[in-house]
Order: sequence, then structure tokens, then C-alpha cells
Amino acid sequence: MNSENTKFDIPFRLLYTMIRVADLERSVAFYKSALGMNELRRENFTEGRFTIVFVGYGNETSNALIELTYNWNEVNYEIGTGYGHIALMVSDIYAACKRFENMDVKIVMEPGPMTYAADETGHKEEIAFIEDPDGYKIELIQASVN
Amino acid sequence: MKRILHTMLRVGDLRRSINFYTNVIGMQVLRTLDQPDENYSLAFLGFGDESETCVLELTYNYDKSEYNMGNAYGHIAISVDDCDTACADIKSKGGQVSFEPKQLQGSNEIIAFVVDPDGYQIELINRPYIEN
Repeated sequence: MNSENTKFDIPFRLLYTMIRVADLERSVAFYKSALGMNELRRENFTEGRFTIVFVGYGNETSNALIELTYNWNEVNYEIGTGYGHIALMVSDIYAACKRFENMDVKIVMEPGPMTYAADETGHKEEIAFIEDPDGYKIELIQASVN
Repeated sequence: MKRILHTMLRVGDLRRSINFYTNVIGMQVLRTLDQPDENYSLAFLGFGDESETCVLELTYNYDKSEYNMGNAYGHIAISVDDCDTACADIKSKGGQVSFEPKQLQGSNEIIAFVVDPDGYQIELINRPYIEN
């Protein structure tokens, strides 16, 4: 099938990040209603007894997504200390966090400028951290105005 | 306006990880930040500019060489034009393929898994129809 496609000189691309969740509908509801993502694709694997749902902000042909994996017989996971977080760009981090507060979303770090600038421009990013229903950390980063 | 910017993973040896993600996987280092006052370094790597593509953030905490990987986080997935070629290439560069290329049942996608130096899994998917 490859021979017919001429777009192979495209660079590799990060497609998605997969996380396992204990309650699929709870997670889908969170990523949709709290974070404003769309459910883009859902697949059930009856034999393997798992369901995967892809959520994200745009079409998967041009946007990175999150893959939520729900194993039908497994609800206990340990996040460990290696995995960090997923970061999202938001247009108004303070308004977003106010909204999260009203929705009882767990805010683990209130929005504010970073202690240090992340690059040589000296611009201190405004960030916040929230938690998804499974306790995965999600970083919010204020979109720069320019 | 909203989009996913990056996924962050903690690594036990930043130089080793940068070497792997650049030389074996083919990413570029987009920016690094060393923060001696707070005992950590960051490296952002990806296949394109951060303003346009989702990237990988690696965090190195000084003097911490190992992490509990847990069993909740899965992997990042990367599109490649040919899984067999990509895996052969990765192996030739010293990378470890943990799941050989295989066509998924009922799908025209071929997937493989590669493991990074800390043990994080990376899925490779051939998706010829993906546009950059």
C-alpha cells in the first residue's frame, strides 16, 4: 500500500499519548466537558477485553491526541513516579482555573508565573496544574499574546 | 487555540535520553533548560517546531537515576512511513524493539513498540494517510 502514497517524505509525528483509565466514561466526560476535547474515535476489542477512546482538540490527521485505554477487568493502576504530565495550551489560564474550581476539578497548582524563565527571552510562562479523574497531572500553559 | 503541547517524562540520564531520541528516534532538541538552583534540567524534543507540533519534554532531576514506572501510563505513539524499515533502522542504531511490527486485525495499520533507555514504551504506527 505504501507505493501509491507519495507523502512519505513527511517527517515523523507524535500522534498521541496513551494512558490507562479506571472508568472510561468518567474520563471521557472529563476530557470533553472540563477540557473541551472531542471524542474522535472509539474501538472495542471484545476478545482482548479493552476499549480505547481517542480524545483531542482536532482531527487526528493533524493534531496530537490522548488515547484513553480502558481494560474491562482492571481498575487499579499505579501512576508511579516516572510519567509526568500532558501539557495543554489555554487562552486564559485564570478563567480556565476558575471554571475548573466551579466544576470541582482538582487544582494541584494554582495559576501563576513560573519562578524561572524557560528560555533566553526571559518570558516567565504562566502555568497551572490540575488532575484528571485518575490522578494524571495536566499542565496548563497560558498562550502567549504575541 | 487549545492544543496539546507536550508530554513530560522523567528520565534517569538526560544525555543518554537525548542521544536516544535524537540519534535513534530522529527527533531534534528544540530547547533545553538547566536549573541548578532547583536541581533539575529539562529538554524539549520533537519532530517539528513547538509552535506547531506536540513534543516530548524530558525532565532530569539531579542525582535521581531511577523511577517507579507504575502501570498506568502507556506510551507515546509516533507515525512512521514504514514500521519494518523504522524498526530495522532503530535496531541498527542500538535501539531495542520490544514488539516486532505486526498488522493489527481488521486494520491496515502496522504497529511496533520500541523501548527507550528508561523503559518507556514508544509505539510506532505506519499511517500513510497522515498528513503533517
